Amino acid sequence: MAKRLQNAFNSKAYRHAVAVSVMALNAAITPHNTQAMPYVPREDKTYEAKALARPDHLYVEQPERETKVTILSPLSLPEIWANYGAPETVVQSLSRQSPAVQEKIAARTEELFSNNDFLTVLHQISTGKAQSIDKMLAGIANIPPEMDIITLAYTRVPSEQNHKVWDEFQAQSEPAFYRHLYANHKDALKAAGFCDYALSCLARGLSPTTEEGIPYNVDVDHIVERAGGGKMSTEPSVDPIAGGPPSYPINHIGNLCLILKQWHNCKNELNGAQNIAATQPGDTRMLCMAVPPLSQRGGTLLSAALVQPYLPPSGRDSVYFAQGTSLLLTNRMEEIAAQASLTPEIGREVFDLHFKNHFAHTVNVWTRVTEHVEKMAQDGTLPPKEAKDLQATMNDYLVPLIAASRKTHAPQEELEKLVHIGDRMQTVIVALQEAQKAGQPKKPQQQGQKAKG
Amino acid sequence: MDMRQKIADALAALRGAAGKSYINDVQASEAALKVSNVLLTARGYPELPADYALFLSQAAGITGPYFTLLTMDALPLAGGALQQGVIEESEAFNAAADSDAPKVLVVGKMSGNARVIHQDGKYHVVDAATRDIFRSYDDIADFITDTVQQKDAAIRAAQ
Repeated sequence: MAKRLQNAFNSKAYRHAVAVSVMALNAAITPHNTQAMPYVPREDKTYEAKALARPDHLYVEQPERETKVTILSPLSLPEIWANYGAPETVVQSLSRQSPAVQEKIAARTEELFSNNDFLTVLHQISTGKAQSIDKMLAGIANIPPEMDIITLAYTRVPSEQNHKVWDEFQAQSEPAFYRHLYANHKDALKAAGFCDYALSCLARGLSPTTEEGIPYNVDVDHIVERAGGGKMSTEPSVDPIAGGPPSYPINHIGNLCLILKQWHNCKNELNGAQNIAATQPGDTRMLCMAVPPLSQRGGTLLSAALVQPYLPPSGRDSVYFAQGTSLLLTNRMEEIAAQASLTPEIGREVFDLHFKNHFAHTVNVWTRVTEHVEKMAQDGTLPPKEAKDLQATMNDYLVPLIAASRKTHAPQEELEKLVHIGDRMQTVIVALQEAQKAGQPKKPQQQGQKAKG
Repeated sequence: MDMRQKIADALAALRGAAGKSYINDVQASEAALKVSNVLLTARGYPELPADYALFLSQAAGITGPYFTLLTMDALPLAGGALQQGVIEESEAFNAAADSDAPKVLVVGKMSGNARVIHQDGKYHVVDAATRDIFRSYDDIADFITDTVQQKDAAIRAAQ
């Protein structure tokens, strides 16, 4: 009997039936009041009306999802998308994605298909190259969970008009937006890590920098895309927030947002994957687009991500921050070492042009991580079993970086910084290993074994 | 005018502008620039334009409120992040294009999702999404000087 039940559960037809029940249940518990729907339903608006709409009308705040029930579906993700009506080529592309990408898309699936137009987007992309479909799905997976993904009518304006809108943004809207941020969000921006000089930049209508002129990790983003805003990009009106002479609504303060650069890049990659550059002027098509949620417009989207990452109370998780930057730098050094025969004489010159900033950043991150791990070891909060993970990170990321630095003839004083970090980490690791052997915590010695490399 | 001097004058204009920019004072040597071109060629990109190489030999990268001009290394951002270099930005820009399309060299960025590219012997400020051309310049010194003038005029008008 148990075996028969198991076989029945594993049969595709049975799994389909369960999935249909799950979807029906979700439909039953999802609010049907259109006022509470996440975004304006397609049938209520024409493309043109959508393009005309103000962003506040387009993005009605997402209702609380407390009533949603999370049920593990017995169907694979491609099967679920097929049930939603996704075209075959998209389903095939989904099957090709890595488990990590599929997991991220699975977390978005309900949100994506809650937009009726998402199927339109999929059908548009389904006729393109398989590579383009792969790029779009990867683009969706890369969107940070803090951002919403919506579908939106993209009505391409002519190049000359796009140029006019960009000029207006440069000359008027961008300075006005910075002054607006200063007037209305300066406390939030200061709390997010902006220095006083950066705030003074905003007050003058300039993008925020440190006193040395180094910019913060932010961009100003057009929520509805500048080149695809239809009448928002062609028919000027008075900005209800900034006032003044008429300007294109696409450049109004309500359509601008201060956004982290990496989030902006993810958004652009998703747009690029849908090949928006190929949209002819005057044409309208549906796009799948990442937008900051309504509650996080203005400056509040920045939060703590603007400043150095907070280091978690675990050695294994802390060293994670050093891995990415170390790997990129090591790869770049190895590549140069392989393609150009460097001598010690030109090693410093190549270092200055190719690695100096990235190297300084990487040393900075490693130093902070090392200080953090040392402090945890001193406090006795670093479990001895973490010695293994710390050693693995040293071996996999720091030691190869030291080797690559030697190979590219990096200046000795720079190399020494990495070696010193290695020594400090090794001291902690040795102390942890000894404590593990002794079965009790032990504080590290002042100086320990030298790092390999 | 000698291009080296023209670039030096443009950098002086940037130093005297209303907003402060970070100008990387590293000076690229001939050997370092050769290595850069080896890397670019290996990825299917054209070599660095001669005037851009001259620029890098005076200042290896600029970030700030006016524009970003990239170097082969990363540039610092406040708070510990990094602005990636020429290769990474070019790869991101070309990622959306057809794989058989000629690769475009991205040397800089501007606000409003614009990129500074070098194509057909000129520098163009283009829309990163649509590739629409907003401005064009014969050399990098003209780009720096004109962009500073226009932005400072906008800031003055806003006050």
